[in-house]
Amino acid sequence: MENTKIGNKEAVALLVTITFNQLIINGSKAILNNTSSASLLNILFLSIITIIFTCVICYFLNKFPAFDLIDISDFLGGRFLKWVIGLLYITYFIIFSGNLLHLFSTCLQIIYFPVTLLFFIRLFFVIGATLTCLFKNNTVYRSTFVLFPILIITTVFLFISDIQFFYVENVYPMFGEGIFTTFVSGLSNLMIFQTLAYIFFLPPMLKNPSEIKKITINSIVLSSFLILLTVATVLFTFNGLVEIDELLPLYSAVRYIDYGSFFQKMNSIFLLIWIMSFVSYLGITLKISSTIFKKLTFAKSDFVFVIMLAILLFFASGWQKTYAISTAFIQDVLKYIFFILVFGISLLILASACIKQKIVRWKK
Amino acid sequence: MSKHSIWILIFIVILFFFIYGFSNSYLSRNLSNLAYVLSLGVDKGENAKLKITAQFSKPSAISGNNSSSGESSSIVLASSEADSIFSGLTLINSYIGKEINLAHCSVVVFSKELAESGISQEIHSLINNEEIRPGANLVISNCSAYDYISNATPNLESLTSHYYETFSITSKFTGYISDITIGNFFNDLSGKSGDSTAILGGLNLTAKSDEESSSQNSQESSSQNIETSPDKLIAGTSTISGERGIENLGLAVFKNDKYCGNLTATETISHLLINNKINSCIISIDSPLKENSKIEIQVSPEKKTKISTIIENGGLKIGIKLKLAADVITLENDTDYENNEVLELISKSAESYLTNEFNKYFNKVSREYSVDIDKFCFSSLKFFPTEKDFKDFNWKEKYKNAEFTTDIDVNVVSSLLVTET
Repeated sequence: MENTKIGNKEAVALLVTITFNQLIINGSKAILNNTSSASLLNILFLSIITIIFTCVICYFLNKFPAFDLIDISDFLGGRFLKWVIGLLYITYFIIFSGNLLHLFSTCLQIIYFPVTLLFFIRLFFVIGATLTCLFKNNTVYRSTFVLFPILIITTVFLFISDIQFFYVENVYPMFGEGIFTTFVSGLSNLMIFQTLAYIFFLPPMLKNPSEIKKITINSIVLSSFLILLTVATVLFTFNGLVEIDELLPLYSAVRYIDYGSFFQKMNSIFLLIWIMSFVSYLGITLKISSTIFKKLTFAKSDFVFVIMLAILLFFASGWQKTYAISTAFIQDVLKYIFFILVFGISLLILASACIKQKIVRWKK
Repeated sequence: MSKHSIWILIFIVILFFFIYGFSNSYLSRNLSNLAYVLSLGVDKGENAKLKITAQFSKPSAISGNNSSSGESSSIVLASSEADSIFSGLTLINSYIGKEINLAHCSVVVFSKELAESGISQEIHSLINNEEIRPGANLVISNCSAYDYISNATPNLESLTSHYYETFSITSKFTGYISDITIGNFFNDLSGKSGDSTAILGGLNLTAKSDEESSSQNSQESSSQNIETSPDKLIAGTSTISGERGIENLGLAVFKNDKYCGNLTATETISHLLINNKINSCIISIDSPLKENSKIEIQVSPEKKTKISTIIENGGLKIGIKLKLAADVITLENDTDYENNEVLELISKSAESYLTNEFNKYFNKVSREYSVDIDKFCFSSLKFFPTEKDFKDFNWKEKYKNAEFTTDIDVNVVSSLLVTET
């Protein structure tokens, strides 16, 4: 019999990996562009908000043990709401990860495969993610768990290795472009916590759904630590990041690592780890999206859905003509969809379902 | 056909598909198809904006002969003129045949003449290139970049690239140069102060004599600008002669992206001491024990330099606090170096010498050049809550009239092996 449930540690690894991939490709750059020298302060502020929001989500989810947002939508509004929410999330997951795939593939093409068509690089990722999804016994979650410590170690290693180039004074002026930018318009940086969108679908996957609060809080704290470390590395290493925009700032920071003449050009190792991590991220997205589809249709197997979503993911990563279009699409469109979907619709459904549950119990 | 066979078939199809897709990138980056640039020189061109010089190494010649003469014969120089670095490299590419790769380029040399007109476009282009490492050193040569590179033959090292790698080591124990890379330069250029430095290079006496004799222009003697005191010493003026025709001494100073002057060897020591980038150096001070005599002491930082900035009545006060340890190298006759009074006298003399040198240094960088190469602006950032407040303060203007104070504490520990003469 196939083992479909995941343990607490695997769940934490899964959630942190999602945030980490967003961080490498687009997140650190977006944070620094939005809040410049106040980025670290902004991250601390956002971490507190995210932890509070996660506690609220967990409070609602605990009212429906082992139910995910699809089940709760079904309870609240029947099949129609279930389909609407399911399709909204699948669309969001596929389009968002498709954009990240386009960004990451473009970076890889520039760095290592200048004469390889973007088509092949994208296809490589999609096939890799599809295969990990199709393997049985939660291969995708287990491989993510294996990779997880490496991600943490390499991020800490990157920070320590670049310390020699740090200008810690880059943390000043304390409020960057102003208090309003840091604490109000800087709220848009919450998008870095992509994990929040995935938490709603976590309970049925867990061996111990009652421990969801512990799992999510741990993962948010770990994610915040990684974000702080990564953004600090970039902020302290580059003096003029506000004026000069780099394609992949973290990669640029990696290029500075140099331990004498023996350890040089460590960027290749980092990129290899990031590639594996990104395949895991795409695998997680495909797996969760196909699970949602499976729930919507009451199908026995998710094989067809994985293939279908992989094809959609491939197309979602191909429509952008340039890197700039992809970045702008994330910042100008997907950011707002994220806030509406996660902080608006989902929270509203959870709250409404709780009220409905109380009314039903009161009527009984 | 069984399910197992179908999966194997799919796997093989995918494998061939990717082999086809990625083989182009593999072939273009195959070692045998690449020509590795060891150093890159950029001069002002006569027929185009730039003259690009690339120094290559023939791998077969190196592996066959490890002696320095063998290596120098294995070096290939090629140059071309074009309006940008990469169009110049493309031209050289058509001559070399193999694809030029900058992944092993250790040094980028700009001529002083070109640097005076600004090099931001070239630096941005180089940083924009994935192949070149941010750790490649940046040299501004008093002579042409072509001459610098063509005279950069290895001396003690078996490979030219090994010689370039010594730049970072030399700076740590002489203090006469600093290990400046294009990554540092780019960072400074795009940073808050916008001012930067680069290694100052030039030809040594031997190379200059060779040049003069070959050009038959013996009217200008190579001994014209010779300097022996570190206070005035810069690249191209020393008395160094040797087989390798180049020397690096002092720093080139940049105001934004334009070369605006240089720092002598002693001024470079001051700069490195402020920035904690030196392990030890030897300085020559007036002997407190004998009139009109000099003694050498080896100085090393005991603690990290503290920089404090105070904004008072709209003006700037910058304070530097240095704590140094020193050992006496040159010994006077009939002196007991275990006597505290003697050590105290040497300490006072060293402190007085360094204070004087630092004052000259601050005068040069702030009043004469108006450049903040020590990034003093960072230490004042904490006074400004927002970027706008910092911009409104007009740092650059205030820096020109800043008041500098130095608090130097030199602790002369001892002489070395001999304690009494």
